[in-house]
Amino acid sequence: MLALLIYTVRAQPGRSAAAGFVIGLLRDALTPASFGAGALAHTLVGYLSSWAKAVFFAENVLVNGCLFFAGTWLRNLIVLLASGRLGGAQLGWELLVWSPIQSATTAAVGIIALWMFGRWVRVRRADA
Amino acid sequence: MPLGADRYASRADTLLFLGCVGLSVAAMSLPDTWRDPIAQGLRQTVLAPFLALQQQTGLLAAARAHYDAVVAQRDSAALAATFLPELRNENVRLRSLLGLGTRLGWGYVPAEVLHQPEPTNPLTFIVSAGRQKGIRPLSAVVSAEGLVGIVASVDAQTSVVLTWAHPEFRASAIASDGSVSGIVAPHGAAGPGVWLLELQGVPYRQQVPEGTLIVTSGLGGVYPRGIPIGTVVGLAGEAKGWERTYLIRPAIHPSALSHVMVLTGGRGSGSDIRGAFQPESVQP
Repeated sequence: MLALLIYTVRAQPGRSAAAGFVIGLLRDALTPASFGAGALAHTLVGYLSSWAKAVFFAENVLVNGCLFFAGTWLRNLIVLLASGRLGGAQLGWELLVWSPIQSATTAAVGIIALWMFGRWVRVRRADA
Repeated sequence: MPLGADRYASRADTLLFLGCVGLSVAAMSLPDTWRDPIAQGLRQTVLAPFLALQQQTGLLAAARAHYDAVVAQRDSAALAATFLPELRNENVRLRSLLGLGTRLGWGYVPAEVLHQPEPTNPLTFIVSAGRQKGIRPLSAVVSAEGLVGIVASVDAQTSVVLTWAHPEFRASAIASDGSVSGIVAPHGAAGPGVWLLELQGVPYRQQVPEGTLIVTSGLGGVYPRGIPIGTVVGLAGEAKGWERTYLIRPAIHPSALSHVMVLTGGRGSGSDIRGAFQPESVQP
């Protein structure tokens, strides 16, 4: 997930969506009970992340961290809704407790990764 | 051109996105008979190296935990092994005591020595048998190696034993070959001499060679005849022309005891029980 989000920082939305589809499909191979849900979630997150990055966000490590947090949480939300495996209080616990914790951890690791390897993922400015 | 303008979604990007969404929905709609082989194929091809890596990581973690458990077991075994010599010694002593009981046949009470953390513990100690088991004052206390001492006082369930190291200990003794006789007493009241005995009153003309086994003589009616007391290790002193005193190394040290036998009544002073003490149990 983190690799996908870091990739979407510099990639076009279409390619981000394709990368998300591939990564999601591979992830679904490990959890056949929700096959396809992960592919859909990563596709959406990859596309929206790249599109939003291009439209709204400046190059800032903290802003990227928030992007990682939101992307991870949105992925979990889509997977849970698409798979339909959880419901009621269990779904609430997952979305309001465990997913934010996971998202925060991912965001922290992502910030550290960007701080260490930021120059390799910096957005290339288009020539005027 | 605005920053990142080249990453706005073009028509190709939108079509690619929609295609991926469609494929994802199709994957979700696949029946199990199609879904499982596809997932299995991905696991056995693209994901195989990652799964192998995860498996190795899991094995490494399990090996680490197992290693820690093995090290803990080894440390526990090493600690237990430090007590092994003492356990073996106690086992040997207990077996010897069992053999002594068999050879004595009757007229004895086994008892456990209740060592106390006192400086005077080697001089007197308490045993776990008393009046209820038939023990009386002035009963002889022996181990498989030989004479330990005498019962000084008796309670209902315990007794106080005066060992040969006590300054008041005396025993009528004789050489195992019957050549000389005398009185055995502690060699000294303090210092290293308290752990040796001496045979007093040996006529000057009689010499006792080193290594001679000294046993109780049975005279006086306290100790039966034949209980090993110790072995002669040298001359302690002499009164010119009158008598000699010989040093005796005791057969057993009181601090080495965990169990003893208390000889109860019924054995006359003329009885000889030297046959109950095997030669190998008495160290020269």
